[in-house]
Amino acid sequence: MLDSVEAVDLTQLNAVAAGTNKKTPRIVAAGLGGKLMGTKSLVDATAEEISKQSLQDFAKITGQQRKEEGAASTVDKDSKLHISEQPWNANNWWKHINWLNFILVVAVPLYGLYHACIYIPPVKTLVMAFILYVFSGISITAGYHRLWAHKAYDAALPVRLFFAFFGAGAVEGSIKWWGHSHRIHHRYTDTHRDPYDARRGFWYSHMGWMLQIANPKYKARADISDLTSDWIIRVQHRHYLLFMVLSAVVFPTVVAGLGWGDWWGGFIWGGLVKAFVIQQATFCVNSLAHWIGTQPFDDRRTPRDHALTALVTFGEGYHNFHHEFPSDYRNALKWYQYDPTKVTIWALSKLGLAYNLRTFSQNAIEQGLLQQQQKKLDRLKHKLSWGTPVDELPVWDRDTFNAKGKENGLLIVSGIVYDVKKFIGQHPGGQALVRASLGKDATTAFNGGVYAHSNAAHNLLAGMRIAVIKDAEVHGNTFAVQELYMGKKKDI
Amino acid sequence: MSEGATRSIRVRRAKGSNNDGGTHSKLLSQAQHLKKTQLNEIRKRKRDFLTRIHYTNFATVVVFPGLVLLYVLYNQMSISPQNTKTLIFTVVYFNITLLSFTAGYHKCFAHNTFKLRSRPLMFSFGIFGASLGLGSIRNWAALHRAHHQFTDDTVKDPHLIKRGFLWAHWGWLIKKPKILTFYKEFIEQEFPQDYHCARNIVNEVNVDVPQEYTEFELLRSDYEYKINQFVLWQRRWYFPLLMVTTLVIPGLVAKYICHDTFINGIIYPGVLRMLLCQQAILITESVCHMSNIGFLFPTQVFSEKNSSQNCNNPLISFLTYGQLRQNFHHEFPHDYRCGHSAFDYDPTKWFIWGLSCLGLVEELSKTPLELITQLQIQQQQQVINRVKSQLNWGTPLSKLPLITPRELNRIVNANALDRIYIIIQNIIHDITPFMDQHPGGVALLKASHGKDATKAFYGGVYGHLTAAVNLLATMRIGVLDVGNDEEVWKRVVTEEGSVKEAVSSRGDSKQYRTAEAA
Repeated sequence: MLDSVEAVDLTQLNAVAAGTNKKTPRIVAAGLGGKLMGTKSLVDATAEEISKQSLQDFAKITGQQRKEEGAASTVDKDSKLHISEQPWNANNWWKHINWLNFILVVAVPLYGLYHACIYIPPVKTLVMAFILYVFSGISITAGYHRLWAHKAYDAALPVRLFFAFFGAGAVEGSIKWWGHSHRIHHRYTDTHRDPYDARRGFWYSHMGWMLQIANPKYKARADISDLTSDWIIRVQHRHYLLFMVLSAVVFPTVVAGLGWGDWWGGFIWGGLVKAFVIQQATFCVNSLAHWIGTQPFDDRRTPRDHALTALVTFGEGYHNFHHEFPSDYRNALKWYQYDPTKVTIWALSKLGLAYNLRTFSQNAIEQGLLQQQQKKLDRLKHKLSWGTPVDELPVWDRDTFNAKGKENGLLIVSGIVYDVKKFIGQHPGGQALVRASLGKDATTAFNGGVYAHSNAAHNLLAGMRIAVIKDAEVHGNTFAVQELYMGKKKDI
Repeated sequence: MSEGATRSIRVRRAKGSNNDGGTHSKLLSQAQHLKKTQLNEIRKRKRDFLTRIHYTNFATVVVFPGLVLLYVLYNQMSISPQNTKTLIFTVVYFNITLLSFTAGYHKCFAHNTFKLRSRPLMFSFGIFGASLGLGSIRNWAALHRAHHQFTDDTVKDPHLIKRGFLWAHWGWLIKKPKILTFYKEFIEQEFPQDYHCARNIVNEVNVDVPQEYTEFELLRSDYEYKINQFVLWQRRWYFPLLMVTTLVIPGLVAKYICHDTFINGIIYPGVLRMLLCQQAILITESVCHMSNIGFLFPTQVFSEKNSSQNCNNPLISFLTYGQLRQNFHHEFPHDYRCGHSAFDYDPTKWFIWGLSCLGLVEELSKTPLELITQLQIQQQQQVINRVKSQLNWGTPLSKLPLITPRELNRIVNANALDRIYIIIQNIIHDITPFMDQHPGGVALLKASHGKDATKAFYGGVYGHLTAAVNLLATMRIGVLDVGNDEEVWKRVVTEEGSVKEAVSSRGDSKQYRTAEAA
């Protein structure tokens, strides 16, 4: 027993990761609110299932093995197929759609947009709407996302209350549901179990995933015991519908109505339009941030960095970094990159309202950058021709070179024979110099005796090499000395 | 106090004169001699200084602009011409002269990037290029070649940036260099006074030139001879040409075509235009070799071997005719362009290209794109390697201690509460410092304490990629001795081999390096 090291039990570890190993109190949202947070069937996964699929998915991402998926489902084409696996047609299209989400994410915002077009409120209402937009937006990014989903820092009670209340006003679900699906997204990025699987196209990852009925075959779970242990999250989840209506609609309506008598403007602009804009912004993180931009840290998964995404989403646009270093409270590293959420958290920490700000070591960040750069560079390198590798060149001796040298336009530089016949006319330093070295060893002249050639010249020359000379002078000397030395040793 | 001091000196003098008059006069003569030699030295230095000033350049770079600026300030005139026609003429003349310099002096005569086919064009290059007051073609182009050949050489680089900004900008123009004879020889070699004589020497070396090349070379050397003769002619007439192009032509044009005064013509299109043109050229030799001017965004894209920088500030680039990509220019001096991108702001390139379309020049030399990319790649690789060596990649596997499972279990049990040890691929990692940062939570780490978590790490629970693998490597503390260490040694080879690979891929791309070493 003591002479070997025990391997971890994958199932047990996955149980820890999914949070099925301990009994957590089931928190159910009241009334219609429960329907909003997905179905139980989607998260009701056992650790055994998860561990089996995890290995397959990872193998696919790293490209180690390819397994045909969904082969089984195409074989038995009976009516038992789940609705998400059936093709869309005139008879079942309405079954595909999650109508509750459709109302909240499409119908109501469209209604709000229509009225926003025909009613322009006073400036005060617009300013209020903008401020509420910023409040809700920051609550989603700094609160829902970085504080709760990633535990990137700890926050004081007033801050958490603020985030919980205004976050509800964004109409994106409760903290518990949001954090859970976000953790699943990070764990299973670019697999079937990723709720906003970016491989299924822009619109699917943007809104399609919540407008369609999801396939319960791809179950996933993540441990959220730390979330459920917070009373704020429990209360917010239980009474989510109430909080949502209060924060998203009632609050702006009342403020604008009692403040300056603009009840309707407060409802439309401060409520519906604001919620629409934030929703779209957050959806952009799932779609746009996996769609446009660069991949400076790792290109094996879809997340990308782009300033435009950052601009729309309060600084969540540096997504490639974020997926590599998820529990870093920053998303943008450089001072010129737009990340107001980072600044907010930093300012809160200076005020003593946030603490334990987590950052990954700069060393690891730079390592990632460097490896990705190297990868890109290697790809570029392979596209160019760098001349025949020296070890693949034929070996000539002096006599062969002397015989061919002059009329074929050959010369020697550093023990390698180059065919410069075609190049003579293009030589920047004039033909005479090259001509003078034909059939000779031009090493000294090339390396500074006449002109110290640039790197470019060296590269150009490398493209013209045809053979290695056997007894170039340098080698000859070395061998002679070696032989002499060895001979002496033998004598001794 | 001072009175006392003077008195004591008087007393001493009196004593000296009384006791020994000879000593006193001796001392006095010595002092006089000293003073004389000092004075002589100062005079000599002055004389030296005066002889070491390059007066023609001094006039064009300091005296003319200085006088005109003083005149403008004294009369409280505007710095740009008030007369619209003069303004237009100034702008046009600025472009004509600067193009003659960049395309003519620089790209044609100094770097031979294209072949001239028209004599009038050659003459206009020589004539209008002279109006910048930076010297004759023979001087400037030869010195420029020296600058390219001996960039950053402490002795031979004429615009040595190590002597400071002022030297690289103006100093080299105004003050003659110390190694004057070397430069004289260099200039003579580049643009020989007696071309045939110099050429014959070269020909003697190549007596047995194959027939196929000879014709081509004859043509070429004929062309070179013509250019050389023109350069010599321009040098002879440089000063008159300078006077005509900076003073006479602008003055006359201003007076008779623009209906302005003669003096305004000299001031605006004449000298102030010359000053502007000079700065556009001089800046490439001073500012473009300095890496510490932040607002120019200097980068070294192609080579770090010398001090030349690509300056990427679009505004400055616009003001100076897009000549600021010196790093490119120093790597590819024989390229008629000043940057490989088709969208670069580069009027000289457009001008030369236009001339080639008109058939006035031919054989524009253009570096193949592949060569440029190769260099960029090599440079990037160098930067990457440098940064790589500065980072912590964890203790090399071969330097880690071997720990038997029994020993490990003992350590694990002893530290069960406060530390976390996890084995991945038979390597022991101390995860304790990272515990709280683990994105998947501490619980997972605690559950794997003292166990082999290879499968869980690589996909079983979560597929860790780049960053996680790197972080893990920095935390390794030992190798598990399981009797069969084949796997570990394979990794040693790949990891430490990869370092070598990185080094050799640098050498690989430049096989000549390895060859050189041999």
